[in-house]
Amino acid sequence: MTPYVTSNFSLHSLTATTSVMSSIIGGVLKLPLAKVLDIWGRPQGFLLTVIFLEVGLIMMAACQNVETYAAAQVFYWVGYVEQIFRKSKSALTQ
Amino acid sequence: MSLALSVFIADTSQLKNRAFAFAFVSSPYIITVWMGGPTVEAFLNGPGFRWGFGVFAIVTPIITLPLFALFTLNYRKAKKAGLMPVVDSGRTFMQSAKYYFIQFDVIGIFLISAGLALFLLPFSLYSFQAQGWKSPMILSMLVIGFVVCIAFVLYEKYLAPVTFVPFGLLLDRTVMGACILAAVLFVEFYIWNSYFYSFLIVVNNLTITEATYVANVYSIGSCFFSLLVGVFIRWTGRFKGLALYFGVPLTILGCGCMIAFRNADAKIGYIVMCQIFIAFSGGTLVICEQIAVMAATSHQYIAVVLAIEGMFSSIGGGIGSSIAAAIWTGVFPVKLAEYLPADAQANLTMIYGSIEVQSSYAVGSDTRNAINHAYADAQKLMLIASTAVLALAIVSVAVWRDIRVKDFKQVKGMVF
Repeated sequence: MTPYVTSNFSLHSLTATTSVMSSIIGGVLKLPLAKVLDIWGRPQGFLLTVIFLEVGLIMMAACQNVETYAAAQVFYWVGYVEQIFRKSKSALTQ
Repeated sequence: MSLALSVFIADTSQLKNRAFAFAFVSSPYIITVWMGGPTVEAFLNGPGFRWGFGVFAIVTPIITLPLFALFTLNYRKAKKAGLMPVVDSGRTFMQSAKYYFIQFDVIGIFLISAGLALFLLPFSLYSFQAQGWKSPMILSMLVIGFVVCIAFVLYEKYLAPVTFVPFGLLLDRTVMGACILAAVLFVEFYIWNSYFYSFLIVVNNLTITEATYVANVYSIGSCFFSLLVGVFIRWTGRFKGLALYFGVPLTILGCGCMIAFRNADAKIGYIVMCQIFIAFSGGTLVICEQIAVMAATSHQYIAVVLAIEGMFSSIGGGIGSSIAAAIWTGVFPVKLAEYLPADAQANLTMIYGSIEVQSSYAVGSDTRNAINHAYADAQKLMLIASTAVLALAIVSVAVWRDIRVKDFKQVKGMVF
């Protein structure tokens, strides 16, 4: 849906730009976040990732400019990746 | 594929079976891709994109909260049963904060994120500045970004008490090669993929549902083919030759063919053919690169090397998006101004800004033909850039050790 979101603000040319920050921050945070969540315990870590996802989704739904949408992508992808990590860890230890 | 599942599978399967098990996990995509297109179209034609995200904002907590309750319940049980040793670190809050600040290498993370972001963003923002590349903001972002990236390298090498990436693991040539391959593949993919969907809607005049199907050929094709690759590796025990003599050349072929086929009067059939080439080779390479990093490291580091590989591909994606945006913002508006008929010149900004305006002109009209022509010119340069980047993929696979994963004892205990 990204091309339609950027078009909504007449900034279709920024379609690719919206994923630059989320790629970098999501990528760099992979290792440290896995470690943080490991220390915190499973339920808390899981809740944190859901909160990240939620913040991302709400920001995407309510964004008034492309900058907010790009920022929302960061929250969404960080939450998305880490949540899946959590699920597998739980399957592993139960 | 998600890191988490990869780690889970890696913990419970033998290396020779692992390629197949990995491929199997990504197989749900084969079903979910068919639902995306119609859903997106229904939202865009109905309540708009906001509700598309809004619905998931409501659904996500409803689906996940029961799971959270389950986790909490089991966690309490484990605590009561004494399975969770409570370790009191004996630190105050401030001491803890300081300890984790160092353990997680917060400075390093900040330096690399800020450095890459500052360096990459100007490539898509320069055209919005009155003076373009000469504007003070763009110049200072580039310079500071570059300096901060250098500072990251120096900091990690000489100052950091703990580095957030275990750089020692990267010294192995197979691991390094696989990580670079992961990055190169994402750079290449994001360069041509970033505006591919828009291309399908505008130039090929597909509906949102159809465009989503075509864009998803990659997901379906690579998941399907990775199953075959998994079986093949299980059978032969080899993966380097497969990547070097099949995966990389086929990616280059698919990408190169698109240079010819993604023109203004593009036939959708040829585009899908190229997508299939790229999907099959992509499925092969992703499996091979993951097997490569796992075969080259000892079992205890598997979770870490997979995460590092994921980090390389993510950052590669960021670089690819930046290149795509740079080419698009540099070429598309210029070509648009060149091709648009005189009566449409006044609408240039509107056409440039919105895919809905672009696709609103009747197919076959002078204006639409001009838009398609400008799209094709920009896409062509992106594809040439992608194909050129792939030259690095050959080198990054060539340096792998030719490890045989058959009869390779790595897992002790539970076996797939």
